[in-house]
Amino acid sequence: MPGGKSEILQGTLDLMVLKTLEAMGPLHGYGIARRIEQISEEALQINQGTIYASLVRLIQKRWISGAWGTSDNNRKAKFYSITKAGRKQLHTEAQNWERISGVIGRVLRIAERE
Amino acid sequence: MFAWIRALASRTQAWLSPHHADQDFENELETHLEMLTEENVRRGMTPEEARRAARIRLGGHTQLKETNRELHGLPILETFLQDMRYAFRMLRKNPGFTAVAILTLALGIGANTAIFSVVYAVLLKPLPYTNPEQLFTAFQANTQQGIAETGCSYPNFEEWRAQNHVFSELAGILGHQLTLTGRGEPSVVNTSVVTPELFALLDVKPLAGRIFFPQDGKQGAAPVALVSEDLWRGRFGADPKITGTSINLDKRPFTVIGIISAAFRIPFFNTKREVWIPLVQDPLFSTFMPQRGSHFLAAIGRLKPGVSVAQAQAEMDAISGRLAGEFPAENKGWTIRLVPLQKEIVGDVRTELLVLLGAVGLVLLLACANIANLLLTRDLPLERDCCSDCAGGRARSNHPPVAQRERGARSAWRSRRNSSGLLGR
Repeated sequence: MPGGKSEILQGTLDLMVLKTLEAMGPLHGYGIARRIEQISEEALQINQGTIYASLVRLIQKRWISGAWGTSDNNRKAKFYSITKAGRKQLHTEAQNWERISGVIGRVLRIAERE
Repeated sequence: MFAWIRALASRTQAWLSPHHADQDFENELETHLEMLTEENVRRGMTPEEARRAARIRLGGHTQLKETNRELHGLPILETFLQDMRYAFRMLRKNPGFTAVAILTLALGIGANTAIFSVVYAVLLKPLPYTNPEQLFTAFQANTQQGIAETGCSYPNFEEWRAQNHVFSELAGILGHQLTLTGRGEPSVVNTSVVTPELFALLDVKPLAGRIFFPQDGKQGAAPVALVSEDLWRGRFGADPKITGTSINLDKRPFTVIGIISAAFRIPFFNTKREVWIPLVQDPLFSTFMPQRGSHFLAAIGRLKPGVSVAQAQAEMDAISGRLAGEFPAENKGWTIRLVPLQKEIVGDVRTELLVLLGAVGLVLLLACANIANLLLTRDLPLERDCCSDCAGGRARSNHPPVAQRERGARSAWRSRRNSSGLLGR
């Protein structure tokens, strides 16, 4: 893929946002976007704005909650944190993901051997 | 599992206060932009460069807002409201068309409502008695004499009651008028003359006092009467101590034992009944009681649970056969006919009513077809409307979806019409 950047699936972004919030605690949109980019070692270069669609979806499902607060350098920002339902969902989704990626990985390896 | 319900609730909430959500998002984007700009400045860009790069990194502002609004909205409801607004706009623009359409539909719907309310009252609404499907009337019939339905005599009625195993109860009724005197002005009252089982059979509870007991029907019993709620309220001024007092019917004294609700109607009497007395006390009909050959009493029966009409009819046939053998002078040639009470009251109008209902249904269909035709002839003005909208700079994709669908359907119809050549213009 050009530049080594990956297109990401909608559901995948939601999962990454949930995981980030679980690992880092409350974060604002910018923080979440930066964190995902850093963790992925800049392999995922998202239009940072797309994170907000994901946040809206997660809030609507009550998997995260959002509240206005003040950032490190004294700026008003909306902070998101994961809810109990969100943690449960993350757990299920993560297991799902492991299973599917395991299956796809095996299929791909078989294809290589032949 | 309930995630989508929560999402819908949240969307509805946001949809009801869109400005708030919009402003919130705007602030959030601005913060994000400032943070990105700062990061870029730290990397050594000039403030202008940093801001520009931050904008690119964040993505198109308008598009983000649009997406946000869509996520917060209720797309189906919005489309529906848009359709409605469009429909009202078109209706206002064509008052003539609107008037004709409304009138046509109003006539169609009105006719249907009128006929349906009759059908409902006559055919669908159950009779106001407990388990009305168990209620039957028993008539005597004589084919040789060409009599399809007539009453029975009291001795025969007693035989029916004693010999049958299919009815849990049988009661006799007839009606006439007596003169009420004693309190207030003398007046003629519609009186029901009944055997005492009637009220228990129809499961009627009195408003006050009691209903008739079997001993009230015996020879030599004290004369008692039930009065209707209307009579009690009107003539007796809702006297709470009415039970136990005496009234005179055709100059004979009767003790009032109870009040019957105004809602109660005895089957087959069109006029409201005001007084009920046991048959044995009636000055006129009690004299007919011993005559086996008379035909004055209408019988109502309640089938025992689980007994079919055919079983009941067979039993009554056997009884009428026995009676004809035993009392040939009065009973030869007479059979017993059972008719469901509902049918007896409704009579033979069932088919006619259903045909009428079908007819008004077709009228409504015709009304709809007429309006469809009107819509087709309204074709040209709509095209013009769209053109002026487009010329006015309104994006074609923004056109209400209903307009597009409508246009699509009509042009399809038109092209078919033209290709078939039937109505080609």
